[in-house]
Amino acid sequence: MRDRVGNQVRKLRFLHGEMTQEELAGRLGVARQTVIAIERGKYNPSVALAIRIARVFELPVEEVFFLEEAE
Amino acid sequence: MRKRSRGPAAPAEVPFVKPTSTRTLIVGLVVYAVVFVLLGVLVDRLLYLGLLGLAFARPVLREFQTLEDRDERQMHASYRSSHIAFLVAMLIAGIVVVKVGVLDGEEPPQHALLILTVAGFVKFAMLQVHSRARHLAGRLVAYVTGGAWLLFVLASHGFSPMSLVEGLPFLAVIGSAVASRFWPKVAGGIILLAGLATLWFFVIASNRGFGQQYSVLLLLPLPLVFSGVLLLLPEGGSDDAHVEEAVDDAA
Repeated sequence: MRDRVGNQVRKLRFLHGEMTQEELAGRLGVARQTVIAIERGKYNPSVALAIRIARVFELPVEEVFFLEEAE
Repeated sequence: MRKRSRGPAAPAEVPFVKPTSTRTLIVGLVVYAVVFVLLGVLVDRLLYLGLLGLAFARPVLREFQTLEDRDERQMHASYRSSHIAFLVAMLIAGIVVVKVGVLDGEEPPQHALLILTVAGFVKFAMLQVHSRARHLAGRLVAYVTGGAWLLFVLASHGFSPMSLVEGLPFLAVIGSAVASRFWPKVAGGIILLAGLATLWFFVIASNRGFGQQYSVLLLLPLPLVFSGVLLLLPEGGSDDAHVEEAVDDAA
């Protein structure tokens, strides 16, 4: 059984004044493709990057990222 | 020690130089390849050497974190693709060596042998260098190398004075491996020197053909030098070292 990491990044961007992927990427110091990959669940960020993302939205990490338990 | 930060805090700072976008990376690679191939064809084929050097310059700089033009996902993708490329290269080189060297009973092609052994050795070596049990790995490599060569000497000369003379250096290697439990740096230094001496004697100053020299290099100097280096490097530390540090921090 492999746990999948889900996230609220897309929703949180929307709630933060419809922040663009480009803007978020700029604030994180990553490529826009990386933000896209994270939002789509194609790439799990490192703990450091997850913390930085959570800081951008001023939330604890666990409110941005969570485990989706596989069946 | 880095400053620890907890929970949501001030707006995130940009941690490093803005990474190159994927599109720029691809366009840059294509332009770079086309320009060099054209220059190589139109000007001088020696420029291909420049192409080779430049092709490796950026990855090497990235590896030493001198160049930070990729973010962690781009680096992850790069590592993943390199790993797959490594497996494919090893598979193809392995098939060629087995086909020609074993099935056809001929001398395996040198290039395939080089790719197979160098890439394999580098992978093994890097795994050990990054492991937390470098000294154990260094000791085991010394035991195996010294032991195998000692057996080879015994098989060649039996229990005779000649075996003693020829086997003495390998006994010294095994002895150093035993001593490395207590004095890893001294033992590592001795094994490294032994490796360099055999490198000089059996490879650099030797007039044997490529095949023989290369086989000897792989079977004697290289493992000894590697073992010596592993023993000279600081040990990774006990598995509980980080727990002790955390307890100290908390106190």
